Amino acid sequence: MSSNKIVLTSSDGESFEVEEVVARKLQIVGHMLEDDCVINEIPLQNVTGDILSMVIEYCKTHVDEEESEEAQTKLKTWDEEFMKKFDIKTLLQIILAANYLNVKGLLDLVSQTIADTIKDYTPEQIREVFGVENDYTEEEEAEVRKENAWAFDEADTPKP
Amino acid sequence: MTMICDLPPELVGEIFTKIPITSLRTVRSTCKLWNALTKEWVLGKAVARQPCAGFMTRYSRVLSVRFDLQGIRKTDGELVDPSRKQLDVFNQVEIIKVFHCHGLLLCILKDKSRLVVWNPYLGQTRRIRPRTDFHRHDRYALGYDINHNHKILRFLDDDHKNLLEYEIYDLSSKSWRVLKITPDWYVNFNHRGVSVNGNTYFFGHEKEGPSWKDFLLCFDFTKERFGPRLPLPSGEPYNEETVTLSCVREEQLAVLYEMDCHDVILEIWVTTRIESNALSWSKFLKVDMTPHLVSDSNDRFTARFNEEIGSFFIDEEEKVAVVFGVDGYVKTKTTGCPTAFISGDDGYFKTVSLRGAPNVKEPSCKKSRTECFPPLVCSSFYLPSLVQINKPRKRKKRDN
Repeated sequence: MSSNKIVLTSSDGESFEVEEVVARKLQIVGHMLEDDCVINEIPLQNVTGDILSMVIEYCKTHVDEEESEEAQTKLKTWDEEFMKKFDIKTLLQIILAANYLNVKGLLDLVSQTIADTIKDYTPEQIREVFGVENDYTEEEEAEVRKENAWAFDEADTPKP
Repeated sequence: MTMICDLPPELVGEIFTKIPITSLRTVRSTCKLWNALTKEWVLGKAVARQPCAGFMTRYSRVLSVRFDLQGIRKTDGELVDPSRKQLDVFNQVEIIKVFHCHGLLLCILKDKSRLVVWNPYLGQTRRIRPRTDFHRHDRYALGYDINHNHKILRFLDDDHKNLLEYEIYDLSSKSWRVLKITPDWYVNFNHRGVSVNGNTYFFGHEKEGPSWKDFLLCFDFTKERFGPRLPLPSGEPYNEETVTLSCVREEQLAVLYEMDCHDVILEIWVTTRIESNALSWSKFLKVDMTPHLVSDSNDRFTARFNEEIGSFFIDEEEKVAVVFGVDGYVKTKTTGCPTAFISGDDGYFKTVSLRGAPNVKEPSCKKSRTECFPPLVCSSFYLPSLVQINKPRKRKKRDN
């Protein structure tokens, strides 16, 4: 494949020159290139420059997905370190961008990272971190919590 | 600023499908939308392909596990499982066995005080006391009848102690009933039945007669009785074989044989049609285990596949089988971790260990092996369900 360069432009006007193989990791770009082969500058309306640069960093690293176990392990370690850099708000922006740009690997990685965060939180922490409003009434919430109470915590109920 | 509410529901749903099932109760109590989304996505998608989730017991503790079989051939010697966690809910009790059916888990407690039925998705549990007593050698099965009433079968058949007990517990009526069954076959104490389409299949033996006449049996939870003897898939009776059962999406039965003829051959068969009185089979996998087994200085294999603690599941898309409980049976690089091997019909074979197991105290007892190493159950293809095990007890107000 030729090392054709493609320029990706973010919604806030930042431009990134990348190799075509990297740009094709963004499936949205891949489709555009297939539809019309003489594009070398692509505007990406729904993603800002700072987020696009992260997506490109991911795509550059994942550009040759080697089959060997060693390469896979190395990539996985890189993914973990890469995810550690971001707070929840950035992760949410990245997942939106990965969805819009259609980068399947990154989408999976970010959603797994967010899922791993959620699983260790209490409902209160989730609401705070993710800015979710509690729309249960007090009664409803008590009901949901009661549903979730473990039987082991209860005192033995006397036999009828 | 981007908030989670800016995400389209399918993205939030996608995230939820990656949360361990046992943590979903927290998500459900967060807000109404998330409660609805978990139901739509986790239950809806469960029917479609999703990472293989299951439960296992180790040192009397229950762990939830999740395996992503997509790309399993690429993984690097460890069955990576980011969501594995010990279930705190069971910290206070010791569980020796776990059975699953229709999204429910039946947990057998070591102290024999009660059984626990658990819906991990809803976070509901129900404790069940014995009609009289539970015994150490009880066999159990969880299933449901044609009206989707979930039931537990308990049986004990001990000629030496002259004990013959068959009884069934109905989760809707919350009561035990005695069944009149006097079989001329038996089921080994450590054999685990497998639930398929609500009924449970067992590996049975004649009480009197040669061992090559072994067969399968189906307990029909609608008729509340055992069906006729069903033939095992391999036509030829072998001298020695071990048989372990599993299922595919609780819709088909899978059988693993280890046959010790000239070479040690492992075969897996899956049903193509399954009813309580008839089965038809197709061969899924055949592996020559000879090069992979642990042998002594005389080149004799030191162990057989342990049907009492071993278990397996298959993935039809990847065409692989994952077999657990193979410590001391298959050559591995590591010891001390619960070990599995993955095998495909193209000769693909590798061992993996379940690393990063939670810090569970190893038992110091010197009892028999199976007591120290309780069955490593991996009920793969665990599909969450909304089966209510604690129906709201809304009593009608009396008209005075």
